[in-house]
Amino acid sequence: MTIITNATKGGLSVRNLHKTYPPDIVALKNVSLELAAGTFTAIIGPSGCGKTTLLKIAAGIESYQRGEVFFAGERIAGNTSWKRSVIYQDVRLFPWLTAQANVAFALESKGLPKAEARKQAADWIKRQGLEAYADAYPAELSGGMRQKIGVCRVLANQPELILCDEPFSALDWTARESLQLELLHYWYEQRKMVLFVTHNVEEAVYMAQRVVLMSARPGVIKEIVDVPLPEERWTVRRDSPQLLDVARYVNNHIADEVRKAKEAELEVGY
Amino acid sequence: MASEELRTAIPVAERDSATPEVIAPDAIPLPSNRVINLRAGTSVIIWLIVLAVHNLIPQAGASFKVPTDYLSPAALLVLGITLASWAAAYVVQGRREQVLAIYRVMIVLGVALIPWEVAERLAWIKPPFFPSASKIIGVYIEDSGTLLLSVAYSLRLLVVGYVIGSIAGVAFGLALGWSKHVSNWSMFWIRLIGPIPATAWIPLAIVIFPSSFTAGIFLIAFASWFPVMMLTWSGVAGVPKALLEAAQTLGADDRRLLRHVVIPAALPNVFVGLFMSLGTAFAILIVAEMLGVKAGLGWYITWSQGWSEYHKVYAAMLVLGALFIVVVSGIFKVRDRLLGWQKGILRW
Repeated sequence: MTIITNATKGGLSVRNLHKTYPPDIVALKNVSLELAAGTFTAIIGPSGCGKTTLLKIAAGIESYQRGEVFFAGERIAGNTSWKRSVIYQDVRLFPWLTAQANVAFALESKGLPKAEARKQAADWIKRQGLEAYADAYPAELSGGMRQKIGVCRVLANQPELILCDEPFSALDWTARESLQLELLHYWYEQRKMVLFVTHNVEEAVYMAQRVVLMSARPGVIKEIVDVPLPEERWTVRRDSPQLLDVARYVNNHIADEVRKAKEAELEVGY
Repeated sequence: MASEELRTAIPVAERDSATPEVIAPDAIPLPSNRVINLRAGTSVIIWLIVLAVHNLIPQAGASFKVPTDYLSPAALLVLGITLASWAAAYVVQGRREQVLAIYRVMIVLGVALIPWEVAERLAWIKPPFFPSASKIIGVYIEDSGTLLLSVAYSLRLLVVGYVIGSIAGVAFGLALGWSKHVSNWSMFWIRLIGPIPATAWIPLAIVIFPSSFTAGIFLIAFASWFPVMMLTWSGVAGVPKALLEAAQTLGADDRRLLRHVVIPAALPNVFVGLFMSLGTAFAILIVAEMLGVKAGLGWYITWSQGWSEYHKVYAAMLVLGALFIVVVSGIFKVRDRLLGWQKGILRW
């Protein structure tokens, strides 16, 4: 019963999860995963390994056939909540709302009164140093700025579970660096649970305490790697030997998986 | 591959090191003096030719009664406007695009008038079916009272019918797009009833409604309802799933989704529907006013035709066109306010 305790304590609990896309593409096969509250976990694997599917199921925007998913004692099966917010790779700001209004929208959706939401949104925008862009529409902003607002609107809501779907992979190096640190600091201070899906090994190892390695289709969890580095990650050099060791290990694993997937495809006769 | 990336990566300590900028729209250069002078000169020359043709060619087959000459004053007015805007182009440089737009209209109008006047003067084309330009201009002066009253009546009928039809269209469209039940149950009937031309309802409308005014309102409302509904529906159906998911994962409930995601996302389509249905509404307006109303542009056209006063028919047609511009400009003003976030929308 330790599993249930974990889930009720505010953690994420995935048990024997099975997801098939029609006609018969197995995205997730018997996936079980226990993540304690307040942890920062990265999920990494070759493309098509079902890592995004797992994240979407946790967010409640994807269905599944078998298994159970619990977060903080609540069963997740297609139900969404501000407590489980997603930072998307394609940002998904509302183009008809200004940057600040996008943040206010999130706060209002959480249930704050209009005036309070507007005030807090302004505060958040200010705290992130984005005042100059508060009244700009998303179309007028660069990609990096848009994602800054996208991150800001999720963090402003202070969700219990922050789901990141390859959030920084489309950004240039400086913007990615700045947002990674942003998220790391936020996590360190607030201790909200973060689930970070990425295909970038360096990013996964640098950001997360634990890295979940997934295999290619069908999606199965192969291994969970602990990253033996301090929680104050911004103090760690990106070329530190320990970091590189873990990265090399993860990299090799993924290279193996990609090779296996290729072989499997050849056998099927593509 | 990734470890190489690692080695070259330089740790950056400062946060917010990225300073992306708001993208500014490109500035459009003002038209040069040469272009302004060329257009203004062309306009002046063309309208002088118009004046010359009108006054120097003797009228073939002239009647005893010489009609009042309205074209000469009108041409002089155009020349005056041309010269005034020529001066304005140098005084207020920022207005040069608008000045050029005026010239383009003046030049095309003048070029069209020259052969018309020649044919008229040499009696190649004859009234009443092909009246002179002077006679058409005269309608606006001699018959302005009736014409203005007709515009007021037409506007009332159009606005009431169009507003009712549009509101119904948006409401139906939202319901159809939002609820699978509603669309499943009503799809067949909408496909059947929607495309029936509004004019086909005239026999029934006359029987059901107490007056020709209310019958006209029904016809116009019906004509505008269908396009608005279909476009609203397609707008709702086309709301990106990504945005709905984004709103849901931020905690938005169904009411917020509808109000803050579905409606704004569908709005560009709704305005396309409003624009399209306005065209049909105008067509139906003219038909509706033939059902026996006492005033209105459609009535004015039919009435004038009955008296073989074709110059009045053409004058009223031009007013209809102008009225359409005014109404559409109003709608587009509202749209530009609501859809300011959109780039590259159709101007009017």
